[in-house]
Amino acid sequence: MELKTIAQQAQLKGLSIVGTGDALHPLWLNSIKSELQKAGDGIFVYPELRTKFVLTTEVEDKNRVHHLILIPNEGIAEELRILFSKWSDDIDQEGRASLRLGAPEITDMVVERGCLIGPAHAFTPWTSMYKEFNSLEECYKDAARKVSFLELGLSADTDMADRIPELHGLTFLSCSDAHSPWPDKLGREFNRFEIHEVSFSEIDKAIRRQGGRKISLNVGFDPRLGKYHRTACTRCFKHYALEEAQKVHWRCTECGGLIKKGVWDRVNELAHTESPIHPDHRPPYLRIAPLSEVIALAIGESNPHTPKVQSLWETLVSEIGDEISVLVDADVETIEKISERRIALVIKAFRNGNLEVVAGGGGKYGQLGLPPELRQKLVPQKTLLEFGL
Amino acid sequence: MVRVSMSEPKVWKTFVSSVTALIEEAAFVFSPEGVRMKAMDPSKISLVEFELSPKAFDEFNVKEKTVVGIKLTEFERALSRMKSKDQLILDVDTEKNRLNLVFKGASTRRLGIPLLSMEEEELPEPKLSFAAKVVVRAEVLKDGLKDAEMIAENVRLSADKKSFSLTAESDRGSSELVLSTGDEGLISLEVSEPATAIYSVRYLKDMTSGASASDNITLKFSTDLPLEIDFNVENGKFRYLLAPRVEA
Repeated sequence: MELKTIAQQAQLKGLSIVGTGDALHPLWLNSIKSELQKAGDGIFVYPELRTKFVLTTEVEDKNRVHHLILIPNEGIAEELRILFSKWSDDIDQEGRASLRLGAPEITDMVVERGCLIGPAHAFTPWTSMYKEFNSLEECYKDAARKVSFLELGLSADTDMADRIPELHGLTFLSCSDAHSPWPDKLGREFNRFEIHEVSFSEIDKAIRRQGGRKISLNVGFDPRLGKYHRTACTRCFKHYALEEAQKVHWRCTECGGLIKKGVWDRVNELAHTESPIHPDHRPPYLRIAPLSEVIALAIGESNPHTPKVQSLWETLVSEIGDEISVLVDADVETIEKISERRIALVIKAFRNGNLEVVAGGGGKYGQLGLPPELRQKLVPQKTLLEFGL
Repeated sequence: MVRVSMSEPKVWKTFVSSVTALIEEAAFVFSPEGVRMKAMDPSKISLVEFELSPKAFDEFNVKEKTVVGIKLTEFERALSRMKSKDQLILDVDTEKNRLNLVFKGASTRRLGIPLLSMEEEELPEPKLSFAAKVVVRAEVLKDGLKDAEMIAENVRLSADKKSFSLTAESDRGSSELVLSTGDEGLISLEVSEPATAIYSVRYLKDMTSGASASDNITLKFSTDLPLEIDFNVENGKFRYLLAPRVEA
């Protein structure tokens, strides 16, 4: 991953601000400082490109819980790196440092320096707050009130998280950390901010919902597409009902692999209600899928990274402006003119919620599928009468 | 009068079971020249043609052309009652309007199924010129279709001067069968211009199910045009036409 590639891809994707990730890593921080230019309060920009960056990192605490931190400027990032070095053996090697500190201590230290902190991918089964604790207070103790957001993760959405009353006061972030710049990875989830200008202090206000600033839209995966949505074996990905998994002591009856509790089941354990109760401040959550996966589905390819899929993705995005506009807003007839009829049909079906979804679990992403009637439409069967019989 | 018998009725049974998946009713034309049947399925996607010479029968007592209309599911069910070593006798009883199936083996059993009032269907031949003619070993083609069935509902046939391929691709994965000149499974390849077309795997599987593993199957197709499938069985031949699927 390079800052220039991220900036280019983010621009195509339609993202204005991207978190740098790994801002405590010395080499990455040096790249940020040397390759990017300052563009106001806590914001960086790649020269000649529009994409702006804000400093972010994840850290892992002593309970193997991940926290997302937004950092006001590079000076604070340096300060935190030096501070955390006392409790970390890998801060100079790993993008996400492991700290011998609990969540409350980390929270106190970062909030004192003007950072924002919240649990990352809060419900996932390996390294999240709710894999370890049953409540925000159990995890952050007295520092719980200093937590200003919760990152939903790919396998959860607002409807799921708002079944848990203790989260009603928190702002939800629909983010995803990308480990490659492919368009189906970078910015596959994002937030729309209502702010007066692009600056750290405006982002801070929006997350804290102060002065009319806010997040006006969460855009994220259909949670069934996330790789930990359902309880499943981490080796062969067989799905299990929660009771079934408990009965077999979390060992797969097919292959002996480890079964991991899905976000769906974890939320059900924590939920107080069957349906979500959204607080007034909660913005709508728009369910999306990566455009390249939608294109691959339409043209019958299993891999969204093939040259054909990428070429169609580039054509659509460059003609229409950005990926989200193609997926959500653009006229279907225009999409058909620019690309192919079958792509327009599948995007239309996606918008109408008519695609099938095979839920993910155990580390395997969920998959989009075509319902039979749409499959028929994409490759219509001719009759012999059309050939003179 | 129609009365025919076969001591090895496997070909008959195989034919009936392979076309039952495609068509519901069939008009078998018995004549002194043999038996033939030609029909289009109700959705007009495929055409089936079958011929068997009198040599395929031990006894072939057919004095004049007689059209025998049969509901194929009933015919198939009745044939399934036959034992593997039974001799099969087909006897048309016009008075009772029945086709009698007589199974002669350790015992003699008789099953009668109703005849349908049907005429021989007059079906014009579409004028098709094929860019590719490929002769393949049946077992190779059947394996390729079984692979494709795991992946998708449709399969793409492609041919150029050097090779023939059968590929399937979907969100469930991909499969590919490639036969190049010189491969044992490819008997011959004649291509005037590269051709590629998509066909339903289900239809193809049904159409090729009548061929034995060692039979040779001839495939003729052109880009986005119907596919013709031919293969010979002992003293008889099968021919099918299948309309393509064309990408939207």
